[in-house]
Amino acid sequence: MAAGTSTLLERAAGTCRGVGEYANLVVQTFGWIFRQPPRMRIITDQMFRLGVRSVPVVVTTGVFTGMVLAVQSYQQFSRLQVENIIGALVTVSMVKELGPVLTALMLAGRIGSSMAAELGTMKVTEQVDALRTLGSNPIQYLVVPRFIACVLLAPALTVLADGVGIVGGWLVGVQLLGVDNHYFWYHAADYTDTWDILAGVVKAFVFGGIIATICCYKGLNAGHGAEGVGQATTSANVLTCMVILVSNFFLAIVTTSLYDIFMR
Amino acid sequence: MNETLIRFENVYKSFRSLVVLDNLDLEVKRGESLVILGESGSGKTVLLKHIIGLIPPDSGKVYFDGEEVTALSEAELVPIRKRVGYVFQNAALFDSLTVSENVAFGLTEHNRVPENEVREIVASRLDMVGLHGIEDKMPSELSGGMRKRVGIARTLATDPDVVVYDEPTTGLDPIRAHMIDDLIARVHYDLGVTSIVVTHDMECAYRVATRIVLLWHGKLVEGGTPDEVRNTSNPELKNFVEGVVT
Repeated sequence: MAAGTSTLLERAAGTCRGVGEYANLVVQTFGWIFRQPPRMRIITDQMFRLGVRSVPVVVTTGVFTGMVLAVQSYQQFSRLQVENIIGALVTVSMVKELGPVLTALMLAGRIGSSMAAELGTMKVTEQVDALRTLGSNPIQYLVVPRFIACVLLAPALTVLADGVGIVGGWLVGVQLLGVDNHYFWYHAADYTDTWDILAGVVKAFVFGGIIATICCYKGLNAGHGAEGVGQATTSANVLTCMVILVSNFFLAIVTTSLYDIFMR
Repeated sequence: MNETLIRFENVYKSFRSLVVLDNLDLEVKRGESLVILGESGSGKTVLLKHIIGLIPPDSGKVYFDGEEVTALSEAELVPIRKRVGYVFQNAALFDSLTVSENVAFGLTEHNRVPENEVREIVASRLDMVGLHGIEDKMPSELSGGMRKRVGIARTLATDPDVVVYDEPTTGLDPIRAHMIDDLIARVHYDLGVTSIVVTHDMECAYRVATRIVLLWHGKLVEGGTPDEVRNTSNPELKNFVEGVVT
């Protein structure tokens, strides 16, 4: 019993220490952005590696999500003879929730894991120590460019996913299932506020920051050898996905509350 | 050669229950070439990393040129780190940069050195380590010996006062190891840098050292000059040098 309690306390202490170290990394990241921003060449290189190469997976995710939404909703709505409202459902769902969240989850898997593995490998091969011996700060050199790239790219890729998702829903709904083309777009525009689009973009900003900071933190704190890097990569992916899903809930509450305060 | 450049004062470091540095005292004089011998896993690398604050001690103090390293923040350590070149055991070259970019890193990241001057310095340092025409290669395309030499070139590019070598000949064949030993000796004598070499390779120690010590169970055993070490009567040092299992 005593041994079990001791282990529990050790784990709790370890978790607290980890949260504190992560918070320290986030604070330092923001500090370095204003104190010594990285060169544009380094940022654009990261944006190409992280963003441009993620387009195929984001487009695939968006298109098929929109198509599934159309298929599943048509079945229910046609019973009530309101299938023409599918356009609204696909658009609002993509823009407010599924676009930002699914894009973030795909990016967590693709670029988050890659960042954690890359930084973890650098840690175990002493490249991070080499940076410090050459007078560079690892957070300024490694984390900040990735953070800026993720925060800028996540919203852009989310908007792309939203767009192709709506087109996917139109393809299935209108072209395959026979929903009226005019009413598809009419209801899509009628039920979608600018606020909905804005809320989705704000979420994407936050998710981009979460992906970059958590995955970089896990990489820079990887254990020894290949096993350590593997564990860091897996842990980064899982933790990032969980934090995205949890933070999405709170962001939804915040954006909905703000809408009620300012827009009604 | 009498001025103390680096000083360890009662430094203690442990990892869980393993004591690596046991209230260790050490002085490194300016201009000397100190070799620190020790068994594999004895803590030689841990000792080296204390010099520039890569690892903090559990207790005790480390001084560099009169300044207490152990009291400085990460930002305050930067000027000291720029004076100390660190050659890692596996070179620690940056995978995503070319050889040329690796060697120039210390020049381009912090100093406003003109591009043509950077190119000249990179070429000169690569020439010093016997490498030519590999500026555009990636580290993954190099052999182990070539990576070590590029690591030395990268360290020398910023003209440090002290160069620290972490097991520079480990994993190399005898010919390449001899080349590295000669390079270390040339750097020490031609450039006048203070050298600290951590190794368990006795041939390397005899070739490059002006003074030899042994890290034994967390403490230092003073050996003296290479000749004094060859003729030592100290039992720990004698057993280590002769490879006697106790």
